[in-house]
Amino acid sequence: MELELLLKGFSVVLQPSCFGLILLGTVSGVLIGSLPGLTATMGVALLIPFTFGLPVHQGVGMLLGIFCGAIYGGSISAILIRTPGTPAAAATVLDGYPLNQKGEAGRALSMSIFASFVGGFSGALIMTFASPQISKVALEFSAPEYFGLAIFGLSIIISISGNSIVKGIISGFFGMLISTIGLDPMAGYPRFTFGSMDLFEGPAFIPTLIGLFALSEVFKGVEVLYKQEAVKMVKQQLLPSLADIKRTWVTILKSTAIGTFIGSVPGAGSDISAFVAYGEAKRSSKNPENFGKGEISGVAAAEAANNACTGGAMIPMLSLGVPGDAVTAVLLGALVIQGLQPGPLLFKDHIDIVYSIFAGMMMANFFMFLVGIFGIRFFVKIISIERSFLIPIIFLLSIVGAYSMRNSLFDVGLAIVFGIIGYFMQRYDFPASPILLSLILGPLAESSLRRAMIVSQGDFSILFTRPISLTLIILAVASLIASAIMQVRLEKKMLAEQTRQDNSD
Amino acid sequence: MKIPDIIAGILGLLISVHVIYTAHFFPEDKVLLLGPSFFPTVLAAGLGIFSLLLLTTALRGKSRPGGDPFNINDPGVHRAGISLLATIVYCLVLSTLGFILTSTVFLFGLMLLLKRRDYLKMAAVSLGVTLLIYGIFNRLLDISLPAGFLG
Repeated sequence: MELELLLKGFSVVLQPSCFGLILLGTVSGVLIGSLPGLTATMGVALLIPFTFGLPVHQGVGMLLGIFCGAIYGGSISAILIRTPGTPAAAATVLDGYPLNQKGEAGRALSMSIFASFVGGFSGALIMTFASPQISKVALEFSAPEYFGLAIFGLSIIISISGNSIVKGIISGFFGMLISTIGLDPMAGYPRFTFGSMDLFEGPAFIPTLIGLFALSEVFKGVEVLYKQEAVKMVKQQLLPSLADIKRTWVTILKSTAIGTFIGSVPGAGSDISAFVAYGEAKRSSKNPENFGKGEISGVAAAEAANNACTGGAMIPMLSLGVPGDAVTAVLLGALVIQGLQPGPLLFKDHIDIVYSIFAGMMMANFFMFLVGIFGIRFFVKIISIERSFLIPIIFLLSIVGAYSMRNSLFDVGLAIVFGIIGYFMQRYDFPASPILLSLILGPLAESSLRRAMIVSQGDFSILFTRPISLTLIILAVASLIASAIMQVRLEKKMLAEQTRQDNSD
Repeated sequence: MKIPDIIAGILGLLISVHVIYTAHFFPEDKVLLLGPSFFPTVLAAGLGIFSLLLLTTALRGKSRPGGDPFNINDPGVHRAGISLLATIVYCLVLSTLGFILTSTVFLFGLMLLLKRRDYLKMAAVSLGVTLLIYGIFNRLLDISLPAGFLG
């Protein structure tokens, strides 16, 4: 039955129009990923408007292409100019750039695309078989369980808080407050709308997103001018040598498993999974001293893990409606715009679309492989594009993207307001990702809590007496404590590092 | 003492107080039990507590290092300020002047701000990119962008 559905999914994505759009998305994704400063989140947010008029499987297929392509694309600039194109490729710099310095950039790039493909494709396969099973469990959920799920999703805010827990939590609360703007979901009472009809449905998701993630980058880009690095043309190598594959295949498989698992835990994104896999590859290596000096297994570990993470992050997004990371939060928004609500009911009501998403994800990884092999010379040139051209283009795409959802100038203003907020947040170390997560999970938390209270006639104990909701709440508390401990350790380490640097100056 | 943290803390507190005060006037709901004010009030209280924490930490001089220092004389800050203001002006005149004219002029200005001085290339890219995006959205995606007085 599942195989049949998957084959049906493939028959949909293999139609020329869908096929072409996934390819277009993948090329755009690699392009966006390879340009430092443009993240996968920003890429998907900026290109969502291009999918508005498309049928669901075509639009979502294109966005999946951007997602997979961008995560791989980050490795190109990481290897060639020591600047990760996306945060996911930060671990790739460690050995990718030293390989380039040794004159082996072609070897590093071919390993990067090979490991990315194995990781990404396997992650997509695991997603295909795991998501339906999880959604079956989730079908039993009612209001208290959904509340537990929303709280569990929100508990990861600390782990995406960056340098300061307090600032991350403030961003989270701010985001949830923004999500309360508009008509109250249960009683229909207008809240914080300042009398504006445009705010009755709350601030529109896409303009808010574009403001926070794209326009803020424009303002930042205008403030900080930096010189474009020249990129040398590399000696091309299509695929890694057999010797390199033999040397790295265990690492690639292990990193794929690590990446998919970490991706499926809400909050832990591809950057974290790449570092964890890199650490594990170094720990289990016979020559750990080679890591950081141009070890090919280091590139393989980081790239297999960060691409496997894409499939992993889709699992909770599709089956539970809780995004695995910032990009899947944007994808979730895109599905909602298309009239679909990710979660167990999606599997019940739109199983055909779900399987076309699975097939599209695999297809996107396949295209990524081809584009990576044959397009590398083109992307090497693209990295050299001047930022003084790139920033104005991002600006224009942001404005058009914000406008086109409802043909509304109000939404353009909204994007600009959030762009200004995002710029100041970025400048003063307030992370923007918690806002994104809160905008998605805040309304789910509120409506499910209030529904649960109607059922229990105001008795809060309903949240703690049902096994699944209790488990989710315990997991949320455990996740909060664990990430707080990890974050405090990280903060201490950074403080010690800062003091050490100050003393040495 | 970290001024930006103090300002952010005060802003957070003000938002929190405003939300709690406004939510106080929302109607109670006997049927739904938890009315429209419940969730915003809880969230605003949370925001208030953590804003206060940020504020007191900053006042005690124990803020974490990080964030770019704000220097009013920094040319980068001037450029960012100009781009922020220009973006607001862009939004205000977009419907009157239309997408093509406003965007072409704005893109040219933005490139100027980014220290480009090859005027011919700048003009060509500004107009070319604007027309390309206009074409894609207007023709291919059937999304009409503001035409302004030219329309």
